[in-house]
Amino acid sequence: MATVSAAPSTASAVLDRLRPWAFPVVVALVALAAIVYTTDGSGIRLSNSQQIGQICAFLVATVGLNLLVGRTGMHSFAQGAFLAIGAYTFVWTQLTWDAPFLLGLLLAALVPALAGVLIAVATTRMRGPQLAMVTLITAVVVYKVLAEWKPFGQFGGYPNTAAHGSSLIEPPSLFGWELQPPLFGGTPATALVPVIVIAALTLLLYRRVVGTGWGLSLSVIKQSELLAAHLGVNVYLRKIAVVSFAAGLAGIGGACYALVFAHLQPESFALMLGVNLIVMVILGGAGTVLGPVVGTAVIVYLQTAPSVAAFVRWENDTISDRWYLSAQGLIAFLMIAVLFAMPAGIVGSARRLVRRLWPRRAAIAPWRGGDPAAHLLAGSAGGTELVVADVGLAFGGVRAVDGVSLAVASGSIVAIIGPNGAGKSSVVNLISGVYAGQGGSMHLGGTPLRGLPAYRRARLGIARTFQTPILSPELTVVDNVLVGSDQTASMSCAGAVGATRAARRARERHLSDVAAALELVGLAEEAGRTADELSYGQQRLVEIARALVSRPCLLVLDEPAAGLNPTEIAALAVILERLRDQGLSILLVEHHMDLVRRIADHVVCMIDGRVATAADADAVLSDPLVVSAYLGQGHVAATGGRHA
Amino acid sequence: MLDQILVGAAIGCLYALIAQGFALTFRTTHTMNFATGEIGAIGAFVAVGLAGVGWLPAPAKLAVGAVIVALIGAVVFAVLIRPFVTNDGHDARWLLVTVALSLVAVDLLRNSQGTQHRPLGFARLDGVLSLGFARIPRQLALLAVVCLALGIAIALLVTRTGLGVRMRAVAEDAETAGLVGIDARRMGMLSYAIGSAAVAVGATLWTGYVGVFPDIGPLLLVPAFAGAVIGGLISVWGALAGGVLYGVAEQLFAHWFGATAGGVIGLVAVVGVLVLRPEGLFARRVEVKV
Repeated sequence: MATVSAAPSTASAVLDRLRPWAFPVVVALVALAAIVYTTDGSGIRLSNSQQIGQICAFLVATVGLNLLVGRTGMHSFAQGAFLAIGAYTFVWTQLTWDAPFLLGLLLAALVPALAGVLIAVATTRMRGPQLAMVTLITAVVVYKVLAEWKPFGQFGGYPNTAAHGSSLIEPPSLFGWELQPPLFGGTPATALVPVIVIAALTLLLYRRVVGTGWGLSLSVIKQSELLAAHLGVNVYLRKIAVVSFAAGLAGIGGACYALVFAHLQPESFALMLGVNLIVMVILGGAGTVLGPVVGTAVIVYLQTAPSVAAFVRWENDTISDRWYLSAQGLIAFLMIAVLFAMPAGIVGSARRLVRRLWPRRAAIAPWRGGDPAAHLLAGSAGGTELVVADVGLAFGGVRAVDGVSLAVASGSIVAIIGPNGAGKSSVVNLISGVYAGQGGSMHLGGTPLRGLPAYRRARLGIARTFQTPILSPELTVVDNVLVGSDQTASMSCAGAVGATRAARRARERHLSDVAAALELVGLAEEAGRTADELSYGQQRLVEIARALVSRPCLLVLDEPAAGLNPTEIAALAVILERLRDQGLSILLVEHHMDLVRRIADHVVCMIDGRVATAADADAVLSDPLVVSAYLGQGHVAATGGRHA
Repeated sequence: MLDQILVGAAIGCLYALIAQGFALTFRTTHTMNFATGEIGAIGAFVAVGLAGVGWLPAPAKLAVGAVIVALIGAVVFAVLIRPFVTNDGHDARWLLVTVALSLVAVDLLRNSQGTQHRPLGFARLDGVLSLGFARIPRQLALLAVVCLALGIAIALLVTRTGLGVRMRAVAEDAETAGLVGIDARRMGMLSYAIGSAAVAVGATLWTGYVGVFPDIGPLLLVPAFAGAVIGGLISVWGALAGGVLYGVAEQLFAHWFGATAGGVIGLVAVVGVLVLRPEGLFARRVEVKV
């Protein structure tokens, strides 16, 4: 099916090999230029050096925040508070212990990360913007503690001359180097070297993490926590991990901040800082790699550049010398304007424009192996049988499912049919773990399912699609299918940070699975397009491909043919038959009787939450009870039960 | 210690009233105004402006301030918040907008009014009220009585009247409510107007005690929000109780362990409630159908 051009020329092969290195090399060059510029020691560059140091320190925090806001869709105002905790922790290790620099840095990351775990535990069980609300309080309270608590010198700052004999920390030393802050002309600002290096590394780290299974799972959580759970992701733990990871990065940013200024003033860490960090991410472009860089640079510039003071003077002259906005008010106003006018941010909007002008090429090698169905089901546990016995589900007083029993023999297709409201989808939801249900038992290949949450059932090999397809619209077809692979569920945060060779090889394997799955469902041509460009029918097929990439032993499909045209339904039938012939057990809910009659080995008809009839397709479809449930009693009377 | 409890309960009544504003708008629109503290500050400054109008009695001044602020609240909802009301639980843009609004408002107030504390100029009771077992400044007693009365009135309005039922209908399902002729936008504006007016009255009476200055927002926002979370976010009676509880806890902890502890206990309480009883102390858990 896929007609791809012949062997690529050697020049483009070399280019392809070099492409992954382009971004790191550019980042390294920019960092090197910044280091050369700032460590020159001349007094004229001091204020610019401070600006660069501040941008780099905040950048570490905003990159972390971007993981939360841009990737996971969780808004946190506490990033500024975590930065403050990191900064105070770092200075504390220097003042009271004279601890080695790297140890101070480590603690500056760990303490906020632990605080992040606490905040996450408190908020992530709830849906909605609870995290944003609670982090808002956290930011206010942390500021209050810093400003009022005596050990931190209150408004004298930390350290201060009264308590510590100096208002600056001693320059820490790293590998025998004194890390001098950019405060004195004539002294090279050596402290900016680690700060710039850390910022550059953080940027590269972000770029790497978001491409891994762990990073993709964050996008899935943003799209739908329900889907994430059905891909085997423990959503609760993963949200805690990402909040904590982001907090740790904020803490490192705080240590960098302390290196740059050598002194901490509580006012710098008021709620405004948390707001500024969010503005940086959103203004630059949430979810993009370069967004935080642009946003952080713009906001730091606005806060420190003389042109803002000139703008305020202009406001005073032309509007009023009382009713005007100063820098902080202007930044907040900018945030409102961006949310209304440019929700994708600067980088996001630019990227959209670029994509429109130069559409992305397919990011995957086409499938060249044998039968893709055989490939995807090779090695899967043959003979997995689903047995559901006497399960029930009640919504308040309504019994949606009432004592339903059914079995899917291994390598067979079972269809559940029945009129709307009969409880078909509820049965599917009970099997995949959306609902706990009441009573009865469920076994998959002998393993009891009852009491297991959805993500555990997914890991046992139950994959499903949804009545309305759930895809991440901004991700490519490849990525939308790739999230089905077990790396999404099993990869840890640490695994994403220190991606090993094994993990990389696993990823290669998963990409070839994706190619096979796309070949099987006939979407190989669409691999590079984003999900929102696909037709409804194609979106359904992407869901099936995603389910197959998890190498399931039971495939559960909720109305796979809804919204498909007759040609597409015929193609779907062929796909499902091929999968069955490879030994996959399939359970589907379906309204298209032609499809059911063609592929189902066994049909269960549900009426009013109970199983009315269960037999082979022909027997069930000619059962007068079934015909009357679908078409009414009159139809049975008129045709004498002879329904075609 | 009884004094502390009494003072805490009195200030708690103010928190409770603001928390109710949160609960009211949250149940109707699933949003709340994080610039609420600044709404209160605006109310206080409007009241300062009205202080010079000699022929207007003090309650009328409060009422005029409340009406002006109610209009501001309704406009804020219609213009800034409503465009971001969606069914997506993750969509927190309304929150970002209102937080940004609070910073814009503080900045404007600081620049135009200066940061110094100034007296309210009216509605001021001097002296201390002795209840036999404990004593409380008269101004705080007035604050408590007015806030409690307004709070109970709002709770009754929401739970006992047809208007309250219509608000609840919008909260359940704005689209269906629209089909039976309820204007979700107007209900939202109304809930914001009521909430803002209540905040204005409460904050103004409070500034009679502490003075009027632009930065009162955060002092009111955190306790009121904590009270609303403790009460369950959607329960107007729960918010009332949560706010009072918070006020007492804050005063007691500040009395025992210093002012910082009084501030920190709020965060601890909110986190504790969210972990142990996410639906709040006084609200029923809502079953969600997937």
